[in-house]
Amino acid sequence: MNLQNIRNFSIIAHIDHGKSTLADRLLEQTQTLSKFQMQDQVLDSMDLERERGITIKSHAIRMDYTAPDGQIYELNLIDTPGHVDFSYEVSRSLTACEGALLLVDAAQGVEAQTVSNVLLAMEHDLFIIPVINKIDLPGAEVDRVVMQLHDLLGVEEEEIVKISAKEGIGIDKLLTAIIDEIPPPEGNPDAPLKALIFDSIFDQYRGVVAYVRVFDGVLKKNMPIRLFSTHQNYDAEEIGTLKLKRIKQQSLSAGEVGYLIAGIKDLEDARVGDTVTGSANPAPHPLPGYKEVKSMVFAGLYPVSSDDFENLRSALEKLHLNDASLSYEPETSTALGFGFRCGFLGLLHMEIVQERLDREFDIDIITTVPNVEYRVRLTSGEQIDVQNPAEMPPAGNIEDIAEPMLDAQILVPSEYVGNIMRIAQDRRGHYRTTEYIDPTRALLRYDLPLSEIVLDFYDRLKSVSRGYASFDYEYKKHQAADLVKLDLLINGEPLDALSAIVHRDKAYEWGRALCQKLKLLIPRQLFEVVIQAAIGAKVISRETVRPFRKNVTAKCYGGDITRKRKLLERQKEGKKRMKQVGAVEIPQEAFLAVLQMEM
Amino acid sequence: MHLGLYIHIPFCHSRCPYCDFAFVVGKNHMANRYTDAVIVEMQNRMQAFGTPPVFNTLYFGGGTPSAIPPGQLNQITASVKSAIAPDAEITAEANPNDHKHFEKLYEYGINRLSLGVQAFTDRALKALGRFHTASDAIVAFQAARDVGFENISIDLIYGAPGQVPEEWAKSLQRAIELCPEHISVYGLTIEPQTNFARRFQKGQLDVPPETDQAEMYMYAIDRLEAAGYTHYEISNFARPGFASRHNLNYWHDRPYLGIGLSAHSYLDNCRSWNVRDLTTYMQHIEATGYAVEREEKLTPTQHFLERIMLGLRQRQGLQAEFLSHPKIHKQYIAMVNQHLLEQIDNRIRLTRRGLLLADLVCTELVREL
Repeated sequence: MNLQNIRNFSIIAHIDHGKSTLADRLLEQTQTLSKFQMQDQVLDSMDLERERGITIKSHAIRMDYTAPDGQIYELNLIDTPGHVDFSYEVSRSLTACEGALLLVDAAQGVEAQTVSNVLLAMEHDLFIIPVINKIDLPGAEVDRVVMQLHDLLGVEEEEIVKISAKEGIGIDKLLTAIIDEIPPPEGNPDAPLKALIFDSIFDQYRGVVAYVRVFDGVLKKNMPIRLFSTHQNYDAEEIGTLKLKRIKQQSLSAGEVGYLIAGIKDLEDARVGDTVTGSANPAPHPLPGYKEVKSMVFAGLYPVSSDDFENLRSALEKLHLNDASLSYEPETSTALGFGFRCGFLGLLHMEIVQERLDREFDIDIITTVPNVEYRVRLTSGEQIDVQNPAEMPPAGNIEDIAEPMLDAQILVPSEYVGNIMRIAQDRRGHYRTTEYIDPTRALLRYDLPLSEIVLDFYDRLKSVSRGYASFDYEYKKHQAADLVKLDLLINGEPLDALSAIVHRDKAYEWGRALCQKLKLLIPRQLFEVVIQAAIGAKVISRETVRPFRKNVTAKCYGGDITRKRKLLERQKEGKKRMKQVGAVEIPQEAFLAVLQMEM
Repeated sequence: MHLGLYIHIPFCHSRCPYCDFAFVVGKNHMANRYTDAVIVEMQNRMQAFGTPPVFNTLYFGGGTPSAIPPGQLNQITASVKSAIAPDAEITAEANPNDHKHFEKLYEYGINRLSLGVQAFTDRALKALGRFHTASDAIVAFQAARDVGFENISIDLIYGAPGQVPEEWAKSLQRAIELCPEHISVYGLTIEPQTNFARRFQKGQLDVPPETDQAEMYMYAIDRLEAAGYTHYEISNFARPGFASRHNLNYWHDRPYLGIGLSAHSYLDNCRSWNVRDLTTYMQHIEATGYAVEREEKLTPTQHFLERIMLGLRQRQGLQAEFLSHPKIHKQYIAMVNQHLLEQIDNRIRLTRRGLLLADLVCTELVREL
């Protein structure tokens, strides 16, 4: 295909602004799919994605479109994940494009994620076509959104395409705009091969299928190839373009988008952002921007029943096959037994994994309080990364602890700015700037510790802004803070699964809230149960669960032994679901208590 | 084959707010029809035995057996006369207000009377929703003695709403002064779906604090033992030779036949029970001759569980070999170390502290089973 007739583009949008519906409509309009082949939101193939209305993994699809001028164009729609946890994947997908459709809901308007997506798209020098969606809705405020886009992008009203993806309004105009305005790809087909892996999936029959954008050179069937980051060589067994199915091709040349199957066994070996080149005539440098994706949030995952440990291992293995960003390592907890310390890109990613374990593998798990990765400088001069609070070295050996800081943006109607500032302050946020997107909406920027948003931050934001605040962030750096390890002791024994790293100023409040919550959740037992929160040897909070003084059935009456036995059987089964710490029985809910703590 | 025989008489004069047994109020006009049904059921159940059984004990429980004319109890007894052992213990539960029936009951062969006194202070009786006074109870006890009963048991409840330990001590003292052969001491239990349960949920029932209940129970044990009663089961005390043979039969894992509404049977390792509704019971009997609602064959584990549960309730305890079971032994040692269980000769029993926590100890012991 002539480069002049290729357009590579993404749709960037806030969750729920209608990205998947628009993608469906484009497929229909270009006759890539007939109407009866359409399953709503074709690109979101995981059930969970469809249910939550978000895209977890990115996909790509090629549409051959005959324009009104009679020419045939190859339109490659590269779908991007719609959540901040996956911002690196978003950035790689955008790299593969020359343009982006910025989709904004006519009723919701510009949101924090829209802003950060715009910035991201600009960073990648993409041509942005502003699109207002859902113009048919009764609540649509097209004029207001036009103003917002004008302020954000400096565009005039006539440059904005107004559509209703659901009703199919304005799609023709949008296709014309894509062809007229998004520049065709550039690239030298005669240079050494450089192709970007912008996504990869695992196919149980074929191994890794890498989605690639060729920047220079030609990727040919059966040619020997090399991956830059791993230096591994493979043969390009199969290449092709992506429609709903994979369509085999003999070659993909500069500017084109397609897939590559090369006998790669493990997703980790075909990392997103890596560059494919030819082994025979390799490019001297890879494409810029590759980085290893690192887990940001960690939590222990333990099977409720210890019999399920192996099942959990194989479930995590299977999930990992399709999701290289999920990391897991076995660990043991005195309270919870054998489990895994898992690393996630963010909270949504964690939730998705939990839900898939439950839904696809039917394993009941206890998840410990999520935490971030701390960078600890020891007095010995050594530096270690701590992903599990229980493994924090004794305070005496620590020089300082650094925690991950975020560059956070919160977009909120101006009347809620005060509320948001209060929360950000509570969460140890460091205020940077305020900008007004339009007269009624402010964009606040904060440096915010990641650890402060892993628990209920998003919910709090929503609740103090009547649901209007939106929030986006990216990792900035690790920064030293006055952090302490807070242990929870049950009758003097540490309950490792509830250890937490908290800021010294918040340790007392945290300890007290945790002890009080546990007091309500731990049932009375044969003996007194003392719950303590401590920093090192110093106890900062204490609660007591009084023992039973009397627990005896008065009467086994009338020969009805069955009833008493059944009661005993029920209590016995109840005990089996408890976790034992020393002699104390602790119900599973106690481990979730922290997640529901009002701080 | 030696068996216990239980016969349920569901009729009551009034509804006690704590009671969740199968009982009916204001239906005494159906007593005749019910008695006939009981006799029919008994005959049918008896025929199911290969060799005719011998009943060592017979127990009329309720409800309130003394609430119907004694002649009807007699009809029932007479219908199985030949199967009752000559030295059988024959008990009837009785309400103090029915003392006019005691003479007839004795005459008809009842040799043990279990008096539902519950308390000897009028305040506690009122709080428990009883319709007799403390002096009515004393009069009833004397009446029972006067007509010839030489084996009388008194039921008492501690922990009545608003009860303080001093009041309980008074009740207990009056019971002891009457010199009954047997005293049962039950802690008030709030059973689901009773009037007390509803009031409790609304916070309208002044149940004594757990520490007071524990104190009352411990006081009863000490006081009754000092007065010459043997504490032979969690809630039961007797002068030597007067332990309830019928109840021991339950606790010793021996068979029994239960006749009448809601009655439970234990035969051939199988537990079964009759329907709980009076009309349903009579209709079933009249139509088919039987009224069993369900039965369950005990699995070996269930049987083992029951023996531990029942054995621990007795003060003589369990044979030590029960606790050498590999899935129990570890917990057993832990319970001994916590002074909840103790070994005396070849038997293991609850300590004094263990008695207060019997249910928890039992659950803990069998948790791995």
